[in-house]
Amino acid sequence: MTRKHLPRRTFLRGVVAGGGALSVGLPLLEAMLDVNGKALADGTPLPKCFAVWFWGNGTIHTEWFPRATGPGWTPSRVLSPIADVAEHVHVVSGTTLPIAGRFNKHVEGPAGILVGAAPTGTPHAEGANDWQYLTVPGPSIDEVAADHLGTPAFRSIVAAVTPPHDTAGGPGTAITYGSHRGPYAPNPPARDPRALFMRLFGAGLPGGAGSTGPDPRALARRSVLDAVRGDAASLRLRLGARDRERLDRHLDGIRDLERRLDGSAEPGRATSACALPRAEAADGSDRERNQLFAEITAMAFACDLTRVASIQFSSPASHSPLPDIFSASSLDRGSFHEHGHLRGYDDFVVRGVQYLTDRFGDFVRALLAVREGDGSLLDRCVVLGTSDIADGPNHGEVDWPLLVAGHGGLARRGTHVRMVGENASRVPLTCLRALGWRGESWGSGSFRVTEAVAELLA
Amino acid sequence: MRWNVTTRLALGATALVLSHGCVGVLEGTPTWSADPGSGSRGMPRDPSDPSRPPPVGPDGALRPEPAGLRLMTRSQYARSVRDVLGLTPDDDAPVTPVGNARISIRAAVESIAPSTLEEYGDAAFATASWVVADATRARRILGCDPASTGTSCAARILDTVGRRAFRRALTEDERARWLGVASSVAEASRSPVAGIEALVAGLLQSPNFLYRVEVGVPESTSGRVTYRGTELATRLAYFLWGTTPDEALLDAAESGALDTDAGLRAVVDRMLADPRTRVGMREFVSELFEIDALDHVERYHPDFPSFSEDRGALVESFLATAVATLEEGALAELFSTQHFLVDARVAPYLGLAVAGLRPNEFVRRELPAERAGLLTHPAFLALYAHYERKTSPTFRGLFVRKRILCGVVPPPPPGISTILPETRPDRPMTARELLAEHQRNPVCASCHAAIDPIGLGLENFDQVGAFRTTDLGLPIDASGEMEGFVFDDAVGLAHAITGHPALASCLTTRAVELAAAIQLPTVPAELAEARPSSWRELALEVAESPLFRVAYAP
Repeated sequence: MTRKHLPRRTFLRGVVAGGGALSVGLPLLEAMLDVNGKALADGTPLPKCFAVWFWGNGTIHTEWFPRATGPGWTPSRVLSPIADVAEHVHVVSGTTLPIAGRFNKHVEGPAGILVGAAPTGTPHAEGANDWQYLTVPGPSIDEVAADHLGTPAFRSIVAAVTPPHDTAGGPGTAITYGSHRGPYAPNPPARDPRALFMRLFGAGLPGGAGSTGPDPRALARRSVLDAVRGDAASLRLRLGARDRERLDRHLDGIRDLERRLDGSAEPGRATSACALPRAEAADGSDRERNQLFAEITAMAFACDLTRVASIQFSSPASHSPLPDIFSASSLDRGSFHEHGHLRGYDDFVVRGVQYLTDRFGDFVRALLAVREGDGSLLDRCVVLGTSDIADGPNHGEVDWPLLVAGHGGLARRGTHVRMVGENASRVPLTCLRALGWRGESWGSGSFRVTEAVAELLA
Repeated sequence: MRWNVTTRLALGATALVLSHGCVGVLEGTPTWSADPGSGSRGMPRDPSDPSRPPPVGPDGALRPEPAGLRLMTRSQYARSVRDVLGLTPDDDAPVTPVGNARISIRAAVESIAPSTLEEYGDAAFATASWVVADATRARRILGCDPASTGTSCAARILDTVGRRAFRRALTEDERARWLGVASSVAEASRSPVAGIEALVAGLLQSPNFLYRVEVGVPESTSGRVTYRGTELATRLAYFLWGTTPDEALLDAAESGALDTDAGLRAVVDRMLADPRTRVGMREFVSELFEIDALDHVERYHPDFPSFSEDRGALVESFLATAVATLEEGALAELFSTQHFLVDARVAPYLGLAVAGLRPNEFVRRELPAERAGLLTHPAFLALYAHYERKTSPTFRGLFVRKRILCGVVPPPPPGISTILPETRPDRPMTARELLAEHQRNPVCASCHAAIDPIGLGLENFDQVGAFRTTDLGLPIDASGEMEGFVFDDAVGLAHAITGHPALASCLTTRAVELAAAIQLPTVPAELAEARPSSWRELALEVAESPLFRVAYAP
């Protein structure tokens, strides 16, 4: 893949922005890396980056992990598609996610692994399949990471490749979304790579070099946001605590917009690798859209437009038929989820988990392809790859699939750690620790852990 | 067969409630316990959960908190933008649904994500740009010339567009704030039109527009608040019209027309005579069945390879049928109607001839003898399936029992696997045989006896809702019994549901959930006697209910 380096003027003018344009913080393109590519020339360390890459319906719990432990692992059948990046991927096997088994596992699993908590039930959630009434009690790991890593121009990237599991429209949010700011505060994912590209890269910087004066549109937007803030302040006085919290979240979003319009966002620390990613998918396949989300995320990290991403390849339970590998005309076509239930560990499931592992691999490869100094973007990133259940055919929670790619605060060489019976939550904690997060513990209730996986940390 | 007298008496006028573990399936009347940790609702209340059902007073009556900030659903947003600007169907404004919530109870609890906020902003500026792009159009929509200097056009916009957007007159502070936006942008960009564009775009981003603000007016000392005036008008408008109140309704509200029962009734009747009430009907049925969710459901069927392209037409057929049925008469006919509105895409799913039909033109057709009512519509049957190629009698039955009849069904006991054995190629089994485990195991049977027979009554319809008499080559037995009402098939089941004593009060309960954003797992005492038989009676039942008009300060 070749990438054109970004001419400064092109970036400043921006590409065509449909509707309203928003400016983004100007990456420091002139900043050069030090000789090792570990910091900017002035000694400022490069920011770390974090991504969740999630797929639905698990793996094959008895055989996904490598046979031997330690660095330089030899791929299992399931992991064979990522043999090429094994140097950069850590595998943690043997863990159990301590879900209560009170609700549907496709809801308890993602809440457990990504939020570190049981989903919040309401008295409406009376059945195992009442996922539409369940939400999460707190922020997901990507939001915790965003708080910790700071927000340059954009708080985070949230994207999804296959359609959501949303067969009913109750107030719950746990089955549908992978990224949450709190209960009933999901971050809806971008589903169209081009829309994500436009949001991140689609605008120029008003008043910057090559521009002819103040952008009247930005001026109007600033003025409107001022008035919106005024309206919100009056409104706030009339509200109860619950709605004040919702309005405060609204104002948080306004503040992000204002900081971008004012150029007062934390200045991005872009590296010389920062370039415009592709905006258009070669085709509409899941594989290609995942690839495009990966490339856009990689460049958003390199340009320091954001430091966090949450990519949901398929939603919990994965009702995607994985059309890239299975023919639509075949009567055998059914979702990955269905096949797990109906056929057990047959060829479909094996090919399915291999295909999904390879898509995780694509995400890792996209970060690896961004060269910074004598290394790659992946050297300062942490990518957590995981799912909603351990295993499709048995829908269990034993031997949870946990892949951690990158070297941001993590060991230099991909390693396999097997820790049978340990709490799977230790791996999300390990990711946060690698990013330098110093919270006392991760998770609540049975998910609460205080001890990271030492072998993974640098 | 009709509902027999003993069944009627035994059930009384109440919803069926299944107790914890469901031992003794028909157990008493629904009770709202003052103790949040007990009662028949299967789960302790979590006080930190913003979507919890309303607290209960010492007298057992519900004490809902004020609804507060209610985001518009996606469809309400698009209609509201058009109506705030007074657009006609011919106006090709770039107004699209924005937002995340598709049903009212979620919209009442959900927060706006930063990315969604950007979408609201972009959409508002795109719409405002469209308004001012053409001088003639701008004058028609705004009632003044946006190119004129001074503040008179902006002031006029605040009286018209602004009042409709905020669903009330603006306060002096608000007027000053928004006039300031128009004049400062006009001055800085040396363009009065840019000032007006910013004003229009801004009003569509104000929290006073994006949220319906329903805080109520406090009464003296009781802790009660009542929704009055324009707030009550807003509740009525979104319930009955699915959109923002128009100027006539705001005028009526400000003149005190809603302050008396008779006045409220008269206004509701006027609103029901307006064609916009079809939107209200449509939204009610759409939320009741959560039918929009069919959008991204995949179903595989050898005879219907184009299912994913037909989903939109199936939903439209479902909703158009519902509206036509409600317009014609009885509420219960939703579940027994002999006619659907179909187009060329939908007809094959019903086994109807396509001759004379075109795509996207929905015409009334009599149903084949094996179907009756919306529960035999393929949009419903396809949505409530399990895997992509299987029906789910349990999901279908659970939907009817809980959503349509307001029965309370507790979750399976902890540790019980809910995964049924799978049929094997060498020994095919029908759904009834697979579900037999539910009936053999007394722990399962105590609940599933109230669920599965309903769903098995719909087994003659496959995962896309096409009629069938066999499953895996085995004959289907769709007969069953529901509270003593014996049926042979889906048409018999339709009659059982149509005549069910819990139906009318449950539909009223669902309408209150939508209109007042109060989550109601089962029929509350306030609605137990509700017996509306038509859309009009349902509307009046809701509008006059204390649950719609009164709240309690937390």
